[in-house]
Amino acid sequence: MRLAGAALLTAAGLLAGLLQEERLRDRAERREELCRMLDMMEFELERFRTPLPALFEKLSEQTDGDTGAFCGKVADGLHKRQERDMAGIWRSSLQILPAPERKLLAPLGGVLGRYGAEEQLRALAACARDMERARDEAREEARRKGRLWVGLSAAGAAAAAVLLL
Amino acid sequence: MDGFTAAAALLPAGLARAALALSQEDRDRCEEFRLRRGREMTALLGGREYGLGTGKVGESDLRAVLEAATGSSLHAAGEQIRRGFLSAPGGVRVGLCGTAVTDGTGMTGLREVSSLAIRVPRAVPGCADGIWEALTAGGVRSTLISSPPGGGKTTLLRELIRRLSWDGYRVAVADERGEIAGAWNGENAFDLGPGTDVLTGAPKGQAAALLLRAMNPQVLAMDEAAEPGEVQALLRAAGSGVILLATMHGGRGTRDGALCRELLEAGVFRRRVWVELRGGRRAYTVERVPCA
Repeated sequence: MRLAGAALLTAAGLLAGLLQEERLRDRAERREELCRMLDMMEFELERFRTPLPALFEKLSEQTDGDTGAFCGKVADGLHKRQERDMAGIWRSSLQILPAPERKLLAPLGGVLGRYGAEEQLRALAACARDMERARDEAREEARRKGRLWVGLSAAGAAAAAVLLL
Repeated sequence: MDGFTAAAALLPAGLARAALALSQEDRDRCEEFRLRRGREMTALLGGREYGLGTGKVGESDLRAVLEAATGSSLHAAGEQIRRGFLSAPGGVRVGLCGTAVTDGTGMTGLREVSSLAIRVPRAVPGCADGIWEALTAGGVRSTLISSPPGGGKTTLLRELIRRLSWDGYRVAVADERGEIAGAWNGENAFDLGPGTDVLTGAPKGQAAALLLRAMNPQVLAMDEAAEPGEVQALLRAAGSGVILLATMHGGRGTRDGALCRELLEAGVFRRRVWVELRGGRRAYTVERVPCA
């Protein structure tokens, strides 16, 4: 009985570590997808001057996960026009994303759709730089802390299991 | 949504409240909202501007109007900005003024917008009733509509197009700014009749030539002919036998501009309608143009 309990404890510890590692990896992947979104926005605005409703519709189809859902919500807001302006649509759509990503993207809401292409591109480039930095940090953290979490959780659980035995 | 509400919908919340506080009578005669940076917003009522008691219009207010007029896509409206206006939902037109950006070929855009004129689009069915008989006595003839800017030429032109179309004429409209049909995103806000074809967005001179070739019209309509190319297009169209309806700036009792004289001297038009503001109301006077 004790042996089974110890095995379960070890497995639970290992699983907790793996989940934490997965969470860190997800965060890096989300930021990678947001970088891709910003890159596509820059390309479309610079080359084609694509109107924002069409742009976000396209982005919602071509991006994954939270980023795709976020773009879909912006596109929906632009079509339904329940908010008076892009800043309001942007603010409410950002609620889909976790707080750190929200903070990085928030300044774009006051510029997109309201200023000329050059100003929008400048704001997008600045946001993309910040997002790339945040992505690199998240990748590094996932690489470093991910293994640490798995190791520590497994070791902690194993120690508890030994005590139990 | 009527034209007034469509125009007010472009305003940021504070200014929209002031606009919507106007009485029904004032709404009915409101022609434009004027936003000038650092000044209160005004409404053009019966030819005069009245302050609406708002605070000073700021850059953010002007930006908000531009954003609303372009569907949050100011960057996609470059060509319209170069021409000095934006086409907005509901047939609303927004005139732009500010610091021009130019290159060797002319104006390429506006760097800073300092004032906006939001024109309230209005169809007034029946506004031509009083002059219809005089206009059509002896058959429909080419007609020039004249008034100073903002005098109501487009409203009358729209009504003449609609009536002729319902009377069975094939009417082609060179509608560069989409103002006659109230075109936006492929839809027309105004009824121009069942036999009317509208070419929107193309320069009027080119549009007239294209419509003549492609649509085989009996009547060709053009708003605000003001460029030599447009006058040449009208002269060519007159030579092809279509009936012309056109508007040009001009005031009764003042000397016509050179382009207008060229058309009149060439005998292109047989009728001329003067639109005048009398006691805050529009009055129409039909004159026969003597044969050249």
